[in-house]
Amino acid sequence: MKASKRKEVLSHHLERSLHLPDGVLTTLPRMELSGNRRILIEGCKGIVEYDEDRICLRTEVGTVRFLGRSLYMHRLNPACAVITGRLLSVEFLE
Amino acid sequence: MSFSSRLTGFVLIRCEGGYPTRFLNAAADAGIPLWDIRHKDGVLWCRAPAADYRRLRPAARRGCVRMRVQKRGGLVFHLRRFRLRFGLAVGTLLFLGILQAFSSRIWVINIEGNLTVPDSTIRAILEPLGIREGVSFADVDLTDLRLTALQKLPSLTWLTVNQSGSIVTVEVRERTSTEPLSDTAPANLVAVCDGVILRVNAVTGQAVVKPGDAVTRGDLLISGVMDSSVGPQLKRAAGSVTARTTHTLTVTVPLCETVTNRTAHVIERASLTLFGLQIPLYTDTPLRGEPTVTTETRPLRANGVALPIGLHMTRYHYPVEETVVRTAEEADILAEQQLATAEKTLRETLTVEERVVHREITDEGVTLTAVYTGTQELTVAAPIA
Repeated sequence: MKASKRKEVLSHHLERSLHLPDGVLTTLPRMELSGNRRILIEGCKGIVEYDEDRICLRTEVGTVRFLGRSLYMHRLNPACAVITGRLLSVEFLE
Repeated sequence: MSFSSRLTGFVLIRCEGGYPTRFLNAAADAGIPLWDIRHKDGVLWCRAPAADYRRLRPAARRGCVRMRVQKRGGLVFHLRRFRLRFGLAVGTLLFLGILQAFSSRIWVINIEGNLTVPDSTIRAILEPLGIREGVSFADVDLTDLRLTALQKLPSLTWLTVNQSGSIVTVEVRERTSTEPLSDTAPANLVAVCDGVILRVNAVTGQAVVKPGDAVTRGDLLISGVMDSSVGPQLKRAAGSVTARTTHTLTVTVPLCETVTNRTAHVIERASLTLFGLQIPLYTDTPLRGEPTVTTETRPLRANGVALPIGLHMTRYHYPVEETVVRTAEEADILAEQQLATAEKTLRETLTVEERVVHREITDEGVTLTAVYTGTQELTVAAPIA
C-alpha cells in the first residue's frame, strides 16, 4: 500500500516537472461533463449509492457524489460509467 | 443502444431486493457491460448482452438480488424463431448469392447521343468488345473498347461507356458533315434550270448575261474570274439572277395496277428475353421462301429504365401482289393528290404566276399534266473549272 502511494507521489512530481497534463502518469479519474445532462467518468472503482436523484461513485480520489433529478446510469463497464439526467451538483467526499 | 448490441442480442433485466449497488459493482468487476441502468421504487432495471446473462448470476448472488429477464431483443432472438425453417435460410443465401453474382454484371445497355447511327449498329460493334448483357463490367477494357469502336464506326467522333450498377450508358457524339464547298472558295454562279433572264445583280464577279437572255441549265451567269491589271483574279461570285422559268409536272394514275403489299402476310415469332437469353415462344416450324425479316425488342420498363426482361419479336414479311382497280373518278382524285404533293416542292423555289393543268382520261388511266410559269432565283454556286 505504501509502495503504491509512493509511486503515486512520484508520478505526480514527474507530471509537474515535465509539465504534463494531470492524470497522464497518475491514476486520477477523468470526468467529462456535457452541460448538466451527461457525465462520463473514467476510472470508476464502483458504485456506492444509486438512486434517481443521487448517485455516488467510488474513485481513486475518494467518493464522488452526483445530485440531480431523473438520474440514471446510461452505461457501466470496467472502463467507464456514463450518467445522464439533470445534474444539479458534483461533490467530492474524502 | 449500440448496433452491435442489437445484432448480438440483449436482455432487459429486472432486479429486486438485496443490494443493487453491490450487484452493479460485481457486474462491473466481472467485466460485464451494463447500460440503461435505472433504479426506481426499489427495483433496478438494466440491459446486458444476452451472451453475458449467465455470468451475471454470481453478481446477483453477491448483491442478494432476484434477477428476472423481462425482455429479449436483437437479431439473434429474431432469427431463433426461424431456426427450424431451413428453407428460409437456404432462400436467403440463394438470394444473396444471386444478388452478388448478378449485380456485378451488365444487364441494361442504353445508347445516348446518336441521331443518324442506329442503336443496333452501335450494339453490333460493342458486343464483340464486351458490352453485352450478362458480361462482367470489370472484364471490359475501356481504353481498347473506345479506340476499336471509333475505328469501326467512322461516323462517330467520341464514345464513352459509363456504368451505374447493372446499367451501362454508352454516350456517343456523331461527326457533323462538312460543307463540300467552303464559303470563300472561288466559284461561278450557274443556271439551275432553263429560263429567260429578268434581272441581274452581280455583287462580286462579272455578269455574263443580261435581262432578256435565254439560258439553259448549267449556263454561266456570273463569273468568278475577274480581269485586273495584274492578270485574272479568282473570286467567289455573289449576286442574284432572277429569271422566268417554265416547269412541267406529269402525274399518271392507272385504272388497274398490280401493287406489292409487303405487310399483307406476316409471320410473327416471339421470344422471351431473360438476362441475355432468348427463350423461343414458338414451335420450330420451317419457314418457306425468303421473307424480309424485321425485329423488335420490347423490354419491360420500371421508372423509365429498361429491364433485362422483355419480348423479342421477329417478323417475317411475305410480299403479296394485289391488283387494284379504280374508277376514273378515284384515279382522278389520286392524281390530284399526287400532283399537289409534287407542286408543294416546286413552289418552294418558284413564284408561280400561271398554272395550266391538262387532264387526259383514257382506258389506261388518268394523266394530269401541269405547266407552271413563274419567276425564280436561278443561281447556284459551281466550282471554277
